[in-house]
Amino acid sequence: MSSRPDPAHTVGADLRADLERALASVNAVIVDKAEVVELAFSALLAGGHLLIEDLPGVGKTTLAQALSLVLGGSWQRVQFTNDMLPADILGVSIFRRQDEQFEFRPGPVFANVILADEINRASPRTQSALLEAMAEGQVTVDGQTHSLPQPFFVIATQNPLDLAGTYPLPDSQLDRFLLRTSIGYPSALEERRLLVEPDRRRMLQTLQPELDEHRVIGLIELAAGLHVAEPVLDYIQTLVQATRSHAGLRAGLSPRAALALIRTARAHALVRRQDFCLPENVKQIFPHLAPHRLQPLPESGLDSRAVVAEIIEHTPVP
Amino acid sequence: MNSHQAPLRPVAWTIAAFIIAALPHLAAMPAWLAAGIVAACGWRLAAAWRHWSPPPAILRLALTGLAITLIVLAFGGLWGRRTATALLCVMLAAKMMEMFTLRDLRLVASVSFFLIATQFLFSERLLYLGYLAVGSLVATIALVRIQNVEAGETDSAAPGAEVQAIGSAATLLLMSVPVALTLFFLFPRLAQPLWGLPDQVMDGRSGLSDDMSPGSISNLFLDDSPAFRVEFDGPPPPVDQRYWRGPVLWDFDGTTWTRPFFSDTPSRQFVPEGDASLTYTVQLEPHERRWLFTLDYPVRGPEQALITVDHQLLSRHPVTALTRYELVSNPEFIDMPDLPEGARAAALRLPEGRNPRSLALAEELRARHPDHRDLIAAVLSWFRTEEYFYTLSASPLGRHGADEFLFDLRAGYCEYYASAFAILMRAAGIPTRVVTGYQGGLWQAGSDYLLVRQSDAHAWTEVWLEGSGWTRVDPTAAVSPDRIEQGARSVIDGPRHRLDLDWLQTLRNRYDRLQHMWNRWVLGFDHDRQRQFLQKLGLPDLSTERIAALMLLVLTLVTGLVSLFLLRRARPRSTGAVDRAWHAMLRRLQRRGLRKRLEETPLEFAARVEAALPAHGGAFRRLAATYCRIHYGDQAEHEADFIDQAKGFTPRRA
Amino acid sequence: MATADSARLGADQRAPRRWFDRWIARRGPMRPPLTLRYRQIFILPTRFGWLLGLLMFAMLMGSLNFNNNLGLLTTFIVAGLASNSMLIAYRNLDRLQIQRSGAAPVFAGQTAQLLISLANPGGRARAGLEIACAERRQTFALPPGGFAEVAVALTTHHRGWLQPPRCRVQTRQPIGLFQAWSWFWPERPVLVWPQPADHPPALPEGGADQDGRQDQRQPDGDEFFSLRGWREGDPLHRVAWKASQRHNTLLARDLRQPRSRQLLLDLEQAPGRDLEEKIRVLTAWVLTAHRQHRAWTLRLGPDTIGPGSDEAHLHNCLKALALFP
Repeated sequence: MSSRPDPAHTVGADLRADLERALASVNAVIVDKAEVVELAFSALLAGGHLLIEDLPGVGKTTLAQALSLVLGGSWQRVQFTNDMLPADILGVSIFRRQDEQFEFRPGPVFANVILADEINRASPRTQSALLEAMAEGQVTVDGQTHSLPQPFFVIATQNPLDLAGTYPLPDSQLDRFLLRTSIGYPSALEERRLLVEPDRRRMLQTLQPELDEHRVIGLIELAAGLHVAEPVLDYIQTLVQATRSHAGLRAGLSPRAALALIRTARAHALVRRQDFCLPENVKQIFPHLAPHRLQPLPESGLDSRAVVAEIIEHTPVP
Repeated sequence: MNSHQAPLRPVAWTIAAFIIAALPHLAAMPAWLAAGIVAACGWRLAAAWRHWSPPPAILRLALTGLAITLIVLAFGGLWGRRTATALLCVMLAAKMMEMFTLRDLRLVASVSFFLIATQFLFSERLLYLGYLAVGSLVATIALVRIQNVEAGETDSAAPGAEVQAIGSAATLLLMSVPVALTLFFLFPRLAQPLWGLPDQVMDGRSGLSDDMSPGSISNLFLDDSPAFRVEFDGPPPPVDQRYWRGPVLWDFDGTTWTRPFFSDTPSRQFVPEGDASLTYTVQLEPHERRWLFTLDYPVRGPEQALITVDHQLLSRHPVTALTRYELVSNPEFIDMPDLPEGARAAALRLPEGRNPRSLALAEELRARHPDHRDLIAAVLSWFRTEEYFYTLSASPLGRHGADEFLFDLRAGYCEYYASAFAILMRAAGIPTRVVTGYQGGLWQAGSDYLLVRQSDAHAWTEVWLEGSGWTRVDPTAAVSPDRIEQGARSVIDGPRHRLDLDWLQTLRNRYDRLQHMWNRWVLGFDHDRQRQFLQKLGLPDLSTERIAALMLLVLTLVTGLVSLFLLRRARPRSTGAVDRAWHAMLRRLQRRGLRKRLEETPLEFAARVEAALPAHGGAFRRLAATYCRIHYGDQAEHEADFIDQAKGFTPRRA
Repeated sequence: MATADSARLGADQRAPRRWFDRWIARRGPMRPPLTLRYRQIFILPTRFGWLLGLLMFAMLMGSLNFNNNLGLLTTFIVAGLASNSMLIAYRNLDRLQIQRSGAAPVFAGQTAQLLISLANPGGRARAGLEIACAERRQTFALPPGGFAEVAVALTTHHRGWLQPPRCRVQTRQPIGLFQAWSWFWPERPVLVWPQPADHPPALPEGGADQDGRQDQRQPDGDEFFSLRGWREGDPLHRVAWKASQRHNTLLARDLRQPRSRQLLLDLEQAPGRDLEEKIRVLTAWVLTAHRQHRAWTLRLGPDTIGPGSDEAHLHNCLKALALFP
């Protein structure tokens, strides 16, 4: 975006400054992928989770790591494998012989930021253990419920091509993720920088936490209070309505998805240093929010991403 | 067209359209019939409001049958325009009782146009232009509302719906004016009617009748409406020469003077033009009789007209529309220097056993004045010196009408005098006939025509004198010179005077001037005028086919222009001044070839503009950002600045 | 603006109909997505329009004959109204976009909802639009720059592809004098699944054999339900050694009943007098299996589908059943 409305930040000026710094730090490591970084922060500030689908080696993990480093708080990385069990994620109750009691040993899920690498390698049962925890913000093991820390942000990655021995996330579970995105190959310029500049991994180590859990919660609240004007609401409504009436889709977006769209558009506006929501925010978010919640009719031969692009293409901006 | 149960609002509009279209018809109907029709409308409205079901078919049929029977009884048959329109109104009112589908509503709404058109058969006065405008607007609104319902409008109670319907109907109607005017001026007019009209169809309206029995003109005196207007080539004749000749009456049966059997015989006499000949044009209001009024004596009239043996000018068909004709009259002509025997007999015939006292007086006069001229002078001076009055409130007369009038009543108006005088003259052996027509007329100050009103109707006599032929004698002039010199108005007494305030009179005269123009340019536009009109445009002597071709050509052109307007790309409807300024700016950019796509946000478009027009892009980007702040943000402080700057933004091609 | 020579053609007149269709097709694309322009828009007076025309003619003749100029003016104003309403009827369709059409699959005998998406790219609202398809009509309106989705019910009888008939989008705005319309063919046929048998026999249990088991990626650990802490008395073979090592404590596998065996639904083994009946039974079975969350394999002659239990598998099976020759 070459132009932005006047950045007259009156509300939460220091929070905004922190966010600014955090963005700058991540952008320093993840070169030329500002859009993806913005999306990631939007998912975080909208209180949702992020799924990154891309080939190995394009920087999924680097992005996730950079995010978790910058956000501060506790973070955990889980590399999924097919022999992993739900307990490996959630934790286990251990019987302690000395006092004849079960002791809960929290799994890696008990952290502010979880980097769930190659989630499709885990068995469906393990996947759904994580997804349920994401949805509910709590974990129940052996009849005991344990709350997860706040904020709680999951960045999952998935390799769409290497399918052998994997279990792609089922359609019905995908909407646990607020946004689904991909990184894409670097541009020629960026690639050159990657070749010339020091190793990304080493750069990661230079990252300092710019935020902490309290500030993230403050930013989430700030985002939730951003102004969304009637025309933007109209736009959102028209988009959602278009998914419901599209002949090539089995069902349209739910009201919950519409609410998520508004929430994420607000967060995106905050990330972009705006004081109010613009149609651009909606337009940027929608292609990452809608497709994985929509199922095209098998016989229509359509891809839900194409359908969503078509809908945006045909929806006038009020 | 389906059978929706028509909701209230379209029904109300349709009834309004019908009532407005039928208003003049209702006014001319017997009151009970009009009341019945209005009641039917009221019932229908209530039915739509209360969701009543239609009345049983038997009842509808019975009511309609009853109404038709009553019409037949009231109008004396089904033949005649008033009867026909009354019948149409009744049929529509009956249709109303069963118009429960949209199709019925449409029928009533569209027949309203027809009803409006039929009213013009009775009067085409300027006033009715307003009637046409309002009537067709309401009928169009009704049609729009009916269509709205058919198109599945559910919230017909929405407040904007009516305003929107009125707006679209007004646009539709306004846009039809160019087409209507083109057709009006270029549609080939008929030189002759396609079919004649049976006389029975003419059911009489204000105007001179073809007979005279004292009492029958009197209602005309109160009618201020114009009878005709005259433009002279040169100065108008003096006031006492303005006798407008109408029907000439020879036969008298004791109460009524009528035209004789030979009154349609064409004249064998050739009236030459003389030095004192007058050339003038008469613009005659339709009066549904055949006579055309002339000054004495018409030398030649329009084609299609005939001059009778007693110098009446007769049109071939009843005058049903405003008619213009050009005339030449020679006032110095001597009519019938020799009176044929038959004519003399007809001009002396009197019924047996009537008016004995008058006959006695005539005998006495005849003995005293052997010379006819002396006798006439004596009678006129008698009228003048004795106590005779001119009044419009005269009593009706009995069997010996002339006796009653001359010896007892001694008060009456022109018909009384003309009739009594003619009886006296015939009894005294002087051939006499009665002429009815108009006398006088108002010379409009500032305009160049003479206005003759219905109230100028007059009756006078013509006596045959040796050497001077038929000579006009106006006994009324002897009694009331004012009547002749100042017009009928001067002798009308009673409360009317109070209404005739000066300014009111001025206003009325102004209106008449307007009416005159209206008559001249709109109503009088006929076959000949159309030719003249085209000649003035430099298209002389076009055949009817050519005119039709010209009409099609112009019509195509006009329709093209109208369609350009109607099919123009609509601008997105924006409410505020900010939106207007923004869209105006977008239009200016569009003219430079940069069109904002619908799915583009303002800032995305701004980026594109910046790439295409580097010189202006920066300015536009700032404006777009401000627009976003106002449109999508919650601040409004930049509005005025934005509007100013947006107005100043004029992109030029790089 | 084009005016059709004839609005209605007898359905039985085959040859003229074909010629007419070809003629229509030459006038522009007829399948969505399409934008209606003058070549595709036809206009004819409605019945009411003809009636008003008759009335106008009567008014014209009367006024001309009487040389009644105000009467003529009235007639001509009505003529102007008519000409304008023709333009507006055309305007109401001009540049209208029919973006797509399609219908979700239904079982034979159900009504399919043919959804037609339309868009109004202009800045003018379009009211009183109507879609007429197979004698069903649906009115709708489009706000400026708006979208509409119109559902037209289609009756289905037989399984297989159902090509929806040629549809009309039409309007009689503003006063019902003229009907402007445009034809289009829905771009996608509707898939009609076989009608499930009303009282199908019970699912053929135990029919699964090695032929049915084609998926070699069934995970070994599938029968695990979860891990829990080792309790005294847990047999040794249920200790999960690997996991225990990771967690530094003794863990045991919590086992549950193994899944029921897979179903094989074979056309040849389905009961029924003829093919259609068999297919209807299979359809009912497939639906029942899916309802019971059981995995099944469908065998239709040489083709085998599955095994599977999810919705995608269900749809594949239904589609195969619908299209089985």
